[in-house]
Amino acid sequence: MRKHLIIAAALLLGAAAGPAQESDFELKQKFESTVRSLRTALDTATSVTSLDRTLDSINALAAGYKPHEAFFDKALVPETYASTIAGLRNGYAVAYDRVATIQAQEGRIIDLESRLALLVGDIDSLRRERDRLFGELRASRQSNQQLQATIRQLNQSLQTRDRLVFALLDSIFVPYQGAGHTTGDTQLENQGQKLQQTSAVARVAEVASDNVRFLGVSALEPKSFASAADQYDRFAKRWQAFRPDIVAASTAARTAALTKAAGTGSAQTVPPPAVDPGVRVDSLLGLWKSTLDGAIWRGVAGEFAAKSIYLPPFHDGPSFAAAVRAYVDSAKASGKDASVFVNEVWKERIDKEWRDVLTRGDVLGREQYAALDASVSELGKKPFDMTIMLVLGLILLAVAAVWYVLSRRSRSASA
Amino acid sequence: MTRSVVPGLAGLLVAGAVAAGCSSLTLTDVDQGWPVEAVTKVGRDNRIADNRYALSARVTPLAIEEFQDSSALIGKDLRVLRNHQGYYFVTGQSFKNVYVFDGSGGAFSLSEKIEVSQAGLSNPALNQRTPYVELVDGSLKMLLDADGVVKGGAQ
Repeated sequence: MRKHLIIAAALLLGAAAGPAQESDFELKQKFESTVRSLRTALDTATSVTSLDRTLDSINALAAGYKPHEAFFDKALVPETYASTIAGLRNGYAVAYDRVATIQAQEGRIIDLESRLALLVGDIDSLRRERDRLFGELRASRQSNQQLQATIRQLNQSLQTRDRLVFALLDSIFVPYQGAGHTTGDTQLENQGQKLQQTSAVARVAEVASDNVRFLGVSALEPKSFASAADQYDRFAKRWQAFRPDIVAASTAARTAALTKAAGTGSAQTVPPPAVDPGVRVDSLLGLWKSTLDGAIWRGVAGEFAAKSIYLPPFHDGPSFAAAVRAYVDSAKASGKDASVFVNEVWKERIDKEWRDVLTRGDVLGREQYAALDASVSELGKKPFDMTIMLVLGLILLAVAAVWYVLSRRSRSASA
Repeated sequence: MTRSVVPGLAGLLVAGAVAAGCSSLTLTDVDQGWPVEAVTKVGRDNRIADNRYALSARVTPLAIEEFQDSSALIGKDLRVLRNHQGYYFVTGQSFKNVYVFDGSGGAFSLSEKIEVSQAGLSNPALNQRTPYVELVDGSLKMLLDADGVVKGGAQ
C-alpha cells in the first residue's frame, strides 16, 4: 500500500511538473525512477488487486509523460518512450499470470494447512498406540497367537504413521509445486518454518527409528518380511524425493532467521549452526535396511537349524546361495539322505514361506532363487536303482533259458 | 536517426577520402547535440567521467578558473551539455559562468565564458533547445549559444 502511495506521489509530481518542467535531466530522472518503482511493484505483487493498482499507475505514467515522448525517444537510448511503456504493460501481463496462479494455490494451501493440523494430531495419537503395543511386546505376557496379533497391529500402526508423515510433507511442499511455478525464497522460507513448526523431519526420523525398533523386538512371520521390505522401499523412495526440498527449505528458513537476527542485533535469536536436517534420517534408513536384512537371514537360517541342518554361515544373497550349493554338492558327493533338507525345509518352509521375500532383487533375486530351487530339486530325485535292472536282467535270462530248453526238447522229439 | 547515420558517416568518409584522393570533404547539416545533459560528480582525482557519452576529462583548470581553488569541484556535480554544433557547455552549482568549450583536438579549449549570475547559480540545469542551449536556475531562464547569451539576462 505504501509502495503504491509513493508511486502515485511520484506520478503526481512528474505529471504536475511535466509541462512546466525546467530541467530535462530531472524529467528523465523522475521518469526512470517511476519506471523502476513500477517494475519493482510488478515483481513483488502478491495479489491481483495490487497489480490492478499498478496498472493504473502505468497508465497514468504513460498519459502524464506522453507530451515528452520525442525527448524520451532520444534520452532513453537504447529504449524509447513507447518500448518502456510497452515493457511495463508486458510485465503487468506476466505478473498477472503469476499472481493469479499463486492466488489459486493459496486456496489449496489454506485447505492443506488445516489438514496439516489434523495430520499432526493423528500422528501423535498413533504414537501413543505404538507405545502401548511396544509395551505389550516387551512384557511378553501373551500367547503366541496374541503376540502375532499384537505384532500385526503394531506393524499396521507403523505403516499408517508412515503414510501420515509423508502426507504431512506433501501438505507442506505440494501446494507450491504448480506447473511452471518456481519456488521463490519467501515460499522456501515459509516451507522451512512449517517444517520446524510441525517437527516434520523429526517425525520422519521417528518413523524410521520405530521401524528399526519394531524389527528388533518382533518375531515376524516369514511372509510378513516381504511387506516389511516393501514398506522400507516405499519409505526410502519417498524420503529421497523430499530430501532436496527439505534441505532447501530448512536452509532458506535458517538464512532468513540469521538475517533477521543480524538486523535486530539480537544474539539470542540466532539459530543453531547449520546441520543437514536429513543426515539423521539417512543414517536411520541405513540402520533400518541392515536390521531388516539381518532379520531375514536370521529367520531363514533358523528354518534349517530347526531341522538340525547346519549350512555354512550366510548373511546376504550371495553367501546364502553359496551355502545352499555347498550343502547340495556335499550331499550329492556323499550320497547321504537329503530328504529332510529337500522336502521338510526347502519345499515346506523356504519355498512356501520365504520365497516372496527371497525373490526380491535386493535380497536374493528371482533368477538366483530359481537356480537354487532347481539345484535342490535335483538332489531330491531318487538315484537310478540298479536292483531293478538286475532283477529285470535275471528275468530275461530265465526266459531265455526256458525258451532254449523248450526248443531243444522239441527238436529231440522230432528227431 | 543519429545512430543509423554514424556508421554510414564513417563509410562515407573513407570512401570519399579514397575517391577524392584525400581532397577536402565537408558534410553539412550535422547535429552533434546531446538530448539531455550529463550530470557527473567530480572525483577525488579531479576528473569527470560519463558512461553514456563516453566523456572523460580532468577539470582542475576549470576549478581554478571559476573558484581560484583547484579542489573546489571535488565531490560536486558538473553539468555538461553538447550543443548541435559540437560545443560543450559546462556549469554547476555556485558557478557564476557557463563555460563553452571546443572539444576538437583531444582537449577542451575555452571558446567562451558566459557570465550568467553574479551571486552564483543555486541549482542550474542545461536543456537542449536546438539551436540554443537553455540554462534554467529557479526563476532564471536564458537561452545561450556558443557566443553568449541570446535571450534572458544575468541576475
